[in-house]
Amino acid sequence: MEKTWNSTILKIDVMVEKSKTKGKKTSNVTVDPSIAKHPLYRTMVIEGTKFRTLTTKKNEMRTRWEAPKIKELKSFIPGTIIKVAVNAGDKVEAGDLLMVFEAMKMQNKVLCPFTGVLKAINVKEGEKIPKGFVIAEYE
Amino acid sequence: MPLKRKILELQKRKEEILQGGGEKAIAKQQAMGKLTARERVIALLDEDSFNEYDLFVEHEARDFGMETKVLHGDGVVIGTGTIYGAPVAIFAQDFTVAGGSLGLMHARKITKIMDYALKMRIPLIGINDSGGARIQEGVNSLAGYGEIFYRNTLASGVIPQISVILGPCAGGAVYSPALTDFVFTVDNISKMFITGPEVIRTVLGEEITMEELGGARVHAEITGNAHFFAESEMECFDQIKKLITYIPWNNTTKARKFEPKDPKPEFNIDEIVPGDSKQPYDVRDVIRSIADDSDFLEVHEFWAANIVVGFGRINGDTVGFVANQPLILAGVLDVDSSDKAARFIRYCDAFSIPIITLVDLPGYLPGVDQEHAGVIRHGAKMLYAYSETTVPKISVILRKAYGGGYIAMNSRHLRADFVFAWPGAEIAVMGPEGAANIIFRKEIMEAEDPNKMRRQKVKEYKEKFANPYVAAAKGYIDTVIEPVETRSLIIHALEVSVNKVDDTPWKKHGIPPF
Repeated sequence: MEKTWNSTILKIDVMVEKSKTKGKKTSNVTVDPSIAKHPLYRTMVIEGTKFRTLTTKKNEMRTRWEAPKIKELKSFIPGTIIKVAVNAGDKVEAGDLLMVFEAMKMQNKVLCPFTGVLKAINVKEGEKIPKGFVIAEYE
Repeated sequence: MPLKRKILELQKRKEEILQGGGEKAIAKQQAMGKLTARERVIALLDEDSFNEYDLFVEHEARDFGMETKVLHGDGVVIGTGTIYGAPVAIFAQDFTVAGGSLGLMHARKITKIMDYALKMRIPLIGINDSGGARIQEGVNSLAGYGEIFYRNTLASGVIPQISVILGPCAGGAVYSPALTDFVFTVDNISKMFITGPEVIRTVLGEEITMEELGGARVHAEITGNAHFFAESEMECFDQIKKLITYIPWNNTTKARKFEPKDPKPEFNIDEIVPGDSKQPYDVRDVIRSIADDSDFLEVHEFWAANIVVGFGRINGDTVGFVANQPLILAGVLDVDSSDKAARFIRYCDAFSIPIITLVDLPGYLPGVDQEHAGVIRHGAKMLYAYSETTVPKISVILRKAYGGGYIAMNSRHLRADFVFAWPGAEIAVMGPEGAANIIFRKEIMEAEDPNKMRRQKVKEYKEKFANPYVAAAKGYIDTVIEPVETRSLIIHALEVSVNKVDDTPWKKHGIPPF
């Protein structure tokens, strides 16, 4: 039975199997010049040297890092907005109550991280929001 | 009452209990493609070797109408038997009885067989197939889990502990397998998670199926919680039987010796590793070209595949292989591969299994995600594991051994007993490209054609430093060998190491970078 595992790793085994049926040795797969252009292989640079290599599903799935935008306030956990204490356009001080946010059965007070003017409030009371949602923006 | 009638009564009682949860529940179990608990135990153990205990145990629940219910064996089968003649203690949760839920007596049966395995110093196998805690028994079932975890921890490193996930294993229950040495999973049958899809949906609003959240593939490939993956229960049992042949019964004995066999001729050690150190190849073929009968039992085959770990035999004796895999992610070390190798190294050390390390790596995986995931802390586990290990340790440097990677991969400096290098080995503080750019920065910048100068300097550096002889001149490697000599030298090194004594300062225990 052919394995249907959705990963590049099993595809290696498939490749190796194929090469064996052609009467070649496993190692011949890897010195095959077609590797340079093979769609499964990626180029990786490690300490200045370029390597052609297969990758893993987990490595492909990883979330790319983005520089944080300091003026955007994001939820770091999904939950429900219980109360919004400010309006767009308000001038706020660091430590002012921004909103009450319920997550994991805990009502958390979300405080303003620094002094400034709020450009937008992107949530309403009672709204359920996912993780990483921009709840408010500073000007 | 004559004895004969008493015997008949015993037979009647046993017959009833052996039906487990009854026909309907068994039919349901079969509809899910699953064997019953006793069928599993019988399939796994040697024929007629299984003896069951605590058949007549009754549950303790007295609330919520449970007192009138009969739960045969309280949903778990325990006993002892053999696998290829090796004695093992085993428990198997019976999903047909109250969903295999764990109550007080269910837990007592499990802890009883665990205590037995530890006292008799024999391997313990646990087959998990349970809906979780028996809610009606309240805190008693939590107590049961805690007592199991505690015993898993005490037995860790003393007897081999194997967990087989053949059904749901959710909530606190998953921590028992996580504390054991090897976790076996089966596609579409195993399901492991702390909080299930239902909780995730209601609390977090994220939709996911059980299979996507904690199926066998997820744990075998993404999380690393599973060490072995099989497509059917029978394949899974074959994997367990094979593993049992490689490992000793406890930490004071050695694994059984097998008839020595030469590697198969189709794995020709001279033809596997390409000369160009940028060319990938499958390092498992190198292992197969060294191991007896080219037989290699890979652990964590699909997780962190950029390092390969597993068991083989050299001259009939079990060894553990740790090898960089240039085919996957260029064979780099990263968070997961360090975790994987460190744990395997400690397993081998605990159970007196010599370690053969095959080195060919360009260094550590660069990236923000790696740094933020704590590659420093995780990478340190490798250094810790190799340094504390006192079983015979042999390294063979096949090609690249640069920088931190050279140190981490069982270098002389981390207590290796023998370090051999192939003639194509490149042992240097960093790769030629990187090194030339730093050392000859000025010359390259000031040259009329910087690229040409760079190429020239890289070549210069390569010729001068990217070889095994600089390290050999300092005695950091013992000798430079031809690939074809590898197996015979490893056999010799293992023979020489038979009476190895290598002490560590007294300590209660170290503080590894967990």
